[in-house]
Amino acid sequence: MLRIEDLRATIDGREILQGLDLEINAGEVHAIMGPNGAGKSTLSSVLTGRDGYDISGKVTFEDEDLLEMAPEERAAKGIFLAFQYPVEIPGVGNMYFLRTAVNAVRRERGEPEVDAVTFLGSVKQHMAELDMDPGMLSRSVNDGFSGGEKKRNEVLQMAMLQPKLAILDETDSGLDIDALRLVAGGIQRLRSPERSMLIITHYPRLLEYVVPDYVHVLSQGRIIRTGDASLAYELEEEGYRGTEASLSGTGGGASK
Amino acid sequence: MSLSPATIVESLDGHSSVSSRNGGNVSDSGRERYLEWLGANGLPTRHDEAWKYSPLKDLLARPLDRIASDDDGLAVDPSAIEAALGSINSVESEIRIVLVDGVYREDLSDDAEADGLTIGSVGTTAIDLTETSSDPSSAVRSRVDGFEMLNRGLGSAGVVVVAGDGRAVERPVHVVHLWSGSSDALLVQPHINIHVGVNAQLSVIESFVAAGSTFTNALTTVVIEADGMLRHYKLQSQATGSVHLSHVAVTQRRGSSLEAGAFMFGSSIGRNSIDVIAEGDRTSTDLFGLYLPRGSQHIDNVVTVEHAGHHGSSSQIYKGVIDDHARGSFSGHIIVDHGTVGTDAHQSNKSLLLDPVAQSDSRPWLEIFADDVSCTHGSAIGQLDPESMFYLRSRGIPLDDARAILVGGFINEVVDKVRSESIRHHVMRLVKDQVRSRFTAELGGEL
Ligand SMILES: Nc1ncnc2c1ncn2[C@@H]1O[C@H](COP(=O)(O)OP(=O)(O)O)[C@@H](O)[C@H]1O
Ligand SMILES: [Mg+2]
Repeated sequence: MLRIEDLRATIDGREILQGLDLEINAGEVHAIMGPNGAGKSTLSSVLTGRDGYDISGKVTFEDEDLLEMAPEERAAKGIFLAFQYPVEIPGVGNMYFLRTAVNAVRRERGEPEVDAVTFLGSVKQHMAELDMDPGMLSRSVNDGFSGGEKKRNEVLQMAMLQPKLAILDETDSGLDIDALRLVAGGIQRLRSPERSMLIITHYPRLLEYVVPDYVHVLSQGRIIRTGDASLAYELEEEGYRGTEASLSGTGGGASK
Repeated sequence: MSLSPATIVESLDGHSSVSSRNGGNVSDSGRERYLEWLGANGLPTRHDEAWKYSPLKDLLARPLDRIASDDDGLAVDPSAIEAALGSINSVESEIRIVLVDGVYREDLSDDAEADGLTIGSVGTTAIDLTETSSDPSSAVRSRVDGFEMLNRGLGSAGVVVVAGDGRAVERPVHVVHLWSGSSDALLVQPHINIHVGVNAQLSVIESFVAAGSTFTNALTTVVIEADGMLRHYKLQSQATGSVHLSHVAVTQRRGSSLEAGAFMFGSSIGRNSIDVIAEGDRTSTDLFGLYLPRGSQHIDNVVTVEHAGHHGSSSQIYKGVIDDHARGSFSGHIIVDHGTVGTDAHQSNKSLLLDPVAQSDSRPWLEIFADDVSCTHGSAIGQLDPESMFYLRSRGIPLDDARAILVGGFINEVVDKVRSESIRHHVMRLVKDQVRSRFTAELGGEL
């Protein structure tokens, strides 16, 4: 589904991604862990088409060149990013935003627009599952939302857009235990044989609910270690330093 | 010598030639006084702070065919302006007042007696104007300028709208300013005189829809008596190629409140000005505006609030979206008089530049002569936020739509300030038309 080969991304003269390789097949859940500043958010930004990077290497999504596509085209192809820092957009209603996004993606895919009643029913159901106050629909997008509300709003958007590849950038950060359980439930519900996930996280807690098929360690712009779900717990014991040290001199770069 | 605002005023030196305006019932001595003032002081110059950003040279030298006379407005057959009338969306349950070339057309206007309103030409016997039109304090303020005096001296007789004491008028008054088309470059000078009685409530919308290359120099004078409330909205969508100057002068008495919004869409050169003297104690003044110049449009906003009473509160919230090589400006003047206490005055101006050559000027001008004051001001000029753009696009929303949504969001804050729901819908419809004409997409927002 997603294939990344020797991906390099430079911003302001600094190479942040330094030759990253990764392949994600349909139905797989991959977790990426790694120290602050390793380039995790940069990877998610490059995959979703944020401006401002000099990029080399190759990224294909369902055998199409992803790097050539505008962000909205990538969304229409089924790529979704839950932002580490969701953006506040004053004056734009959350409900209006959601419906515009859903219909834009449907239009791009040649599907008919969803009618207001069906849409509202679906939003309300997802909001109930995430224990979100329906009043948040009439507020401006993320405007004045608490940290946890913003993260839930990201998961709500994901649930409405039903992406093929969901990238979650620290969606679990800043959540209390109850909120984490709800958010994890929202993510787990999306799991299916056709859908893939790339979960960026610092903590194994989320991975207890959404058990990954693979765990990768990203450090200094490349993947230096790959393992199964148990690697997350190992990292928690040893820290990233241990991993970096044990691999120094090996050239790293293991991915599947 | 060809006619222009400048030459009109020059000819006033021996002012008999233009001072005899036909029609109207403004006492000749009143007009004489205004024209004398004009002859002595002239039109604004570059040195007038309040005209700092306006293209004065163009305004003063603007070629005119002639000054509209009352005959222009009265002569026009209703069928001739039916099309123009039909193109104006009405506000829900409105009381419509039609002016043609600045002249009140009773035959085309609604009757409002049942609503507790008195409407009529200046001088109509039913209306006692001792308090309003001839009130010297509202006529000869210290901040009066040449264009106001040009209107008073040579403009139409005007319409008076009076909400009697204690009357809460529910239906909004919609003043529609039409243009006869009898001459292309006509100087049209309407004067609306609004009087809100003690504890009365009134909403007034003024729509300016002039076509051609008319020069509108409009004046609205307002007195809000004790505990009265006025909502006033100016909706300007004149044709490109026209000039629009409109000035609103308000006197607020004790405990009164004013909500005044100006939406400046049309005209090549536009200037929206409002000057409020909060004379009584505990007044509330809520002013806001939106301007959307594009192409080579030039739109200025000049806002003054003077707190002359105690415990007055006021806000000025103005936003501009400036595209192409257009220009927009905001000058916000707050004056807090010596000896007053408890003033709470706020001001904010934000503009969004959609093009690298678009230009925005913003100037706060605070004159605080009292100690016990809470006063804030802020201004920001920026482009569409790239983070917000990326966020929307990452959700599948195409570039153009994302731009329209963000512009819509920016605009909504001002539209949302219109508290009356039916009027807000009306304004939103106009705003959407404006934005739709520059983006292919629908405008963001709940409506
Ligand atoms: N616009 C930028 N200009 C320069 N450096 C940047 C920019 N954005 C991110 N970086 C740097 O890139 C590195 C990786 O950042 P990021 O991808 O956000 O890391 P992570 O998400 O793994 O914590 C950091 O050192 C960060 O400071
Ligand atoms: Mg990050």
